[in-house]
Amino acid sequence: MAMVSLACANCGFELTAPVAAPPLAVQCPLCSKQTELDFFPALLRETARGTSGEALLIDSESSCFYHEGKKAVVVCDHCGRFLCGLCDVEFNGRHVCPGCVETADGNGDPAPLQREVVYYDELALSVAIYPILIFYLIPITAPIVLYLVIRYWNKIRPLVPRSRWRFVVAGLVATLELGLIGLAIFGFMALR
Amino acid sequence: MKTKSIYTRRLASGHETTWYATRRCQLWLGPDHLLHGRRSMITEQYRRLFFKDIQAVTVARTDTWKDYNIILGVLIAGCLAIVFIATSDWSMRAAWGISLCIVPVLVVAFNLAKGPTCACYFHTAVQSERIGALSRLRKAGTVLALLAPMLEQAQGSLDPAQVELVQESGRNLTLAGNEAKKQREFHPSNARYHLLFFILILISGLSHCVDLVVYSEAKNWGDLLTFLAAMLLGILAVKDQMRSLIHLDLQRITTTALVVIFVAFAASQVVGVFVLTMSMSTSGSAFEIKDWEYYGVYVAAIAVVNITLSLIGLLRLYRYRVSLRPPELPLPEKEGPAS
Repeated sequence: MAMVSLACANCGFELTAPVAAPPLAVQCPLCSKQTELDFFPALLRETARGTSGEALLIDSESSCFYHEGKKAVVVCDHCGRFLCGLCDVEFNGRHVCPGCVETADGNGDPAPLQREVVYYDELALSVAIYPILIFYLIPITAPIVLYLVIRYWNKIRPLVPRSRWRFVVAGLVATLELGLIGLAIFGFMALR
Repeated sequence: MKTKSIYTRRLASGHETTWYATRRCQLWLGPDHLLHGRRSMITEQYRRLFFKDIQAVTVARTDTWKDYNIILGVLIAGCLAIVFIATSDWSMRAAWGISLCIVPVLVVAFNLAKGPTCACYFHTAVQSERIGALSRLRKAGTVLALLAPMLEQAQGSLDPAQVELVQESGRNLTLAGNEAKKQREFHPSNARYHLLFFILILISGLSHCVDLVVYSEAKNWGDLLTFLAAMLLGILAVKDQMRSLIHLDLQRITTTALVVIFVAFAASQVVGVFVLTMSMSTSGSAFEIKDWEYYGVYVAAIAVVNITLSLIGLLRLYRYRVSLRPPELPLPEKEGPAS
């Protein structure tokens, strides 16, 4: 009998159930929770084997940039390097080489490959607001906030829609903090 | 920064909670894939799940929402107990009760309104991604219903003949990227240590209730012995559950109860040292623990916590014991006399 093996979604215990039309419900013996499994045609398809590079037969043939002895079959759509079947990474209908996948985050071009975003606006807002509780840190943190706002105003590349209100609020708070410090110093000097 | 994004619709957002941190998660809908973002401090990490690659989705109800409600319920009960003991004026009791309990009550109401929590995984050929944004059962159901036609468009509809073909071929299917625990050699257990452990905690809780009315030095020594026996049984119960198939919810409440009674024991030692110091510094009449002004609050808090934990534990133990019973088979029908 064909079985499907899965992990309990609650506790991770290995479960098995006979293959039947989805959805399947499997009770975990460890946590007693029922895991519902809904599967799609992709699970039933046999996994296609990856292609290995074809060896060069004559020296005048184009070879792969990464493997000299392998025949080039495609050109990288991003950098133009010749690639063998092994180095060809098909992504979103484009052929790219492993090097371009590796550097995708750095050069900022292929957004579909971006894996991480650093939100400097969140950092600026936190650095602007939290030190209010420990007020004597404000003379140090307020200039840092202004630096972050100016430096990273256009540098964040969010994948999802995001506005700049955090930068604006952080900048305003930092300016206000610096203004109050200036006022305090001026008042102190005037009193002396 | 406001660039035109291919993600225009946020399907869900939620929190992924581990024992040490909470991370905000978002699920966005792309043209041919889903984008799952997981926030950690100021960085957000993304995983893309292409519709054509999604092999399966698994969903299981979790107890997180119940745990939150229990913890907050105990907190509310504790606050109310303290307020009732601390003052006898009803207007003061109402004012303090409302001001202390309003936030936990609102959180409980919000938690109840959002419904039961769940764990939802999307499986592809190479990964198994927990979708923290789909942490509520109701929301997960809505989003999965929304995604079903898109998955069908990308992969085609599931033909029952395909399933039958797999059944006939005997090919086993495995969800890749499963972080399944290896099936260890588990021993059957009837959780007798757990039963004794929770009974002792219940006795301890009831005994502390008696302390509020009658104070007895001898009973205090009895309480101490009960506490020590409960700790010993708790350790045996935890050891037993590590190598048996005891339900996870029972395991969790046992561990929690053991930690709590350890903490309570430590607290009682601190109180003991305090009483000793006070009796040494008080000249004339001897200072006893019942003379301590917060003695009633201290005893009430221990009683509430112990009784709550033991009742939850006994309830879960009962459910576990029921699940151990063999299923009742239908009785064979008696054949009538041959005519």
